[in-house]
Amino acid sequence: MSRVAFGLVLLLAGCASSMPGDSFAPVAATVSARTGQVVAVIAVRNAPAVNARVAGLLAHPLSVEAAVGVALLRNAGLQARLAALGLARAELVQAGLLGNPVFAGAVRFPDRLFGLTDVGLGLMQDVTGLILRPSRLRIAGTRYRQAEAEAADDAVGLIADTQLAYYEALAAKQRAGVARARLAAAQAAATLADAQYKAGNIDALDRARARGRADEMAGRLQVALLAVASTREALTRLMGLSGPEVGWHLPAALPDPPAAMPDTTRWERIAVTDNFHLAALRAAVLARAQMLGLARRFGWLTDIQAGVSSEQNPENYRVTGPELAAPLPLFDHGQAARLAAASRLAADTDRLIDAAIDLRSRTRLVRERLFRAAALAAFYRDRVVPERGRALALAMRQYGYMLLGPYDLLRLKQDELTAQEGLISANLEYWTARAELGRALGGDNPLKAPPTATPISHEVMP
Amino acid sequence: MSVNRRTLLGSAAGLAAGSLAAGRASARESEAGGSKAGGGAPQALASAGVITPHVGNLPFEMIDGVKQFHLIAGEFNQEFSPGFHVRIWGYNGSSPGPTIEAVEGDRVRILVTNRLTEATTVHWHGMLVPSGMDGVAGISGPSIPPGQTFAYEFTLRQHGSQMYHPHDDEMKQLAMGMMGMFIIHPREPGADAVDRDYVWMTHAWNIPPGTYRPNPATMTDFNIWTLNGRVYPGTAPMLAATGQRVRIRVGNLSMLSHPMHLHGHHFWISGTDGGRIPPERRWSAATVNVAVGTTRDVDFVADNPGDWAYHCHRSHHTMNAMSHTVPNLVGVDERAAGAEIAALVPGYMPMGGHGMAGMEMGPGPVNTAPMMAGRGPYGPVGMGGMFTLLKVRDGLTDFSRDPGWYAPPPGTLPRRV
Repeated sequence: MSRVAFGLVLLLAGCASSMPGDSFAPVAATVSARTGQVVAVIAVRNAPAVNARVAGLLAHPLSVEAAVGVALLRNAGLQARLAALGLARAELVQAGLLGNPVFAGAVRFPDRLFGLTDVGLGLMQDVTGLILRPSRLRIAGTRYRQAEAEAADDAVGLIADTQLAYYEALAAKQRAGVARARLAAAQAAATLADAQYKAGNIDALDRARARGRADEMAGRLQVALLAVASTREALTRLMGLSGPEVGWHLPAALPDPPAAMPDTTRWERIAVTDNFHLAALRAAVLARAQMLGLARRFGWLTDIQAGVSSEQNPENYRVTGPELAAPLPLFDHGQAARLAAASRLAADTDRLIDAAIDLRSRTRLVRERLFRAAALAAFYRDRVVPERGRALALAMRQYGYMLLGPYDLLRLKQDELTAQEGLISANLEYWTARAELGRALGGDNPLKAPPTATPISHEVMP
Repeated sequence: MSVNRRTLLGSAAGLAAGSLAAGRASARESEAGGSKAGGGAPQALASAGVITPHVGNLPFEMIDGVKQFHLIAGEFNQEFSPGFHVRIWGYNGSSPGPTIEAVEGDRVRILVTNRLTEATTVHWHGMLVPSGMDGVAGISGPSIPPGQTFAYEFTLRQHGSQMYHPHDDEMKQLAMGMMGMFIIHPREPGADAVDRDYVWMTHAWNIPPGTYRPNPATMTDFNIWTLNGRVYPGTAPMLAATGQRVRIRVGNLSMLSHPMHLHGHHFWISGTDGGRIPPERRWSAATVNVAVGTTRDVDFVADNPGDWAYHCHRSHHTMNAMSHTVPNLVGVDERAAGAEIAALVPGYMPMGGHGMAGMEMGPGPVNTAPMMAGRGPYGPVGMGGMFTLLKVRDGLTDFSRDPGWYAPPPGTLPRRV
């Protein structure tokens, strides 16, 4: 009876703790502390408080923080993955449960009139589970920590993906603006060519060339607008929005990268320590090691049952005694299971090493991208774009002396627009690298701290 | 057209020079003012002197019966028109170099100091000199290395408007401006004497706007056309009192010929680089083509008061810096395109369609001369390059300054009908 009561308590406890919100709380606290974003399981998707919060975040030109905030509230894919943490909790509970005892009863009737009926009763309990329970609990605990890390990696991944999508969408919007100006410049040249053709001053070929360039630019604008639509929808999907909430709008331009970079020498170490994907793989390796240990010690131990049975025999007395059923490990003493466990450990260890090498490389690359893109952006902002502007101003003076014509001015305008495209690309490179930095460092953002070293300028350009 | 004038020009009777000589000398000095000619103190010429506007004439010293001149080849800045400074090569700080003026039969010695960074020679173009003095590098005699001074010496066996220029790295040195006029007066000028004797050299340069040094590799795409190293409106006017006899000598060492045209007068073509032409073989014209490597003298009586254009008649030679590639916008309705361009290029204004001369040019690039410039009493002049004026005034005595714009007598202006 007391055993039944104990089992019930365990069962209830399992039910209570299988609510994913509870399971996720410690992970959420870690991720929230690192990212500055509230990461939580949203129990009711359209709760008034959630709706109000989302509406508030979407009310202004969307900032990257607001986009991430909305995604963490609304992205149902993340919520689904957070629910997996509940499964891991359930498995942990399951590991603590003993197999139920098996009752067996048999009634056998005599083949003569006043013969006695043979009644046999038995109760068997699986003993293997009892012996292995501490090991299995330990393994399940490791698996649960792995699941926690995977959930955190999902949350950090959603933050990085949302930031990437945000910057891509903003860059696409800016590029469309440039494409619009390119079309206007080409169209102005075509308009002038039309007027020249009407006056009899150029031939049909020259007019066709001017029109062809304008048409080409019109086509490029359509491509740019398509990119606006697809990047916008990508961000909308990551923010988990539909219905009236899809009417959000972006600010005018990507911000300038900051003028200085903090100390980056510890980034690789931070990544190795804090990256959640790596943490999950480490937990997986530990679980595999624990499983191998189990297989080595108890690989032969399968399906042992112990119990008691009682039988009223034909002589009308009862025989009662213990019962044991165990496979004899003569042929299968667990060697295949040990080999499988060892192989799984080796494979997961290699996966961990592979991921660590990959992560360190990506972290170094992110650092390079941040430095170079910040320098490139400064180069475009401080040198290329103003130089192109100055060239146009100087060309205007030549135009004033009839040394250059309107087409020359429009060509220089196109050069200026090319420089602006370069600036947009450099800014985009910087901000996407920054999003990747968050992913690599498990949500840590060393750039949040005020920059202390290494001023960025285009002087570092080769 | 005046038969009388031709008669006068052709006849010795009309050309008594005497009483005008004194006034002429003082005017000549002031007009040549600003000359950077070096060397000794100027000495009076035995015959009537020439006027080389902006440049002046090269002084000489008489040493043991030899007229000794001193040319210094070097690099310097010259202002082609106000605010347009060009780093060029020439002689005694000027391109063309100062005019060497002498008389047939003179023994002359020309010291030539080379302050260039490369060797040079002087070739006496059209002059009958001993072979060794002819200045062709490698053939005639030694070149002058940088930093050294060589003396050319010979006796003048001819008269006429001649020239001097290097014959060593000639393409570059000519393109950079090294040239000058060598005027040899006849020993007995007689009826050929004039009151005002102007000397001009034409030249073509490639000085892209905003640059400060000619491109000497250019063969055809010249953009700056000078008279005595100046472009209109930086060119000085020629002055004459009504009735004075005037000669204009033009030398051409550029790569194109220059048909020089004078308004309001006919002239006699009176001399070439082969010397003065005998009166009976002269012919009358209003334009004389000065081919490459030649000189032409024209004589006339300034008998028509007014402000008269004198210019090369290749119309692009009376323009300053210009482009060969600007689109043709004549007759083009630029309103729609103009609005579209102005939306992209702040300050843009269509300018091609309304006639260039009527337009005030906008702010231009640094260090060049606007394609067309100048303002007269009736509006923009719209000229540049090889353009100047002959100003003929009744009773003009002060040749030291521009007499201002001509005031046409009543009934001599076009009227609106």
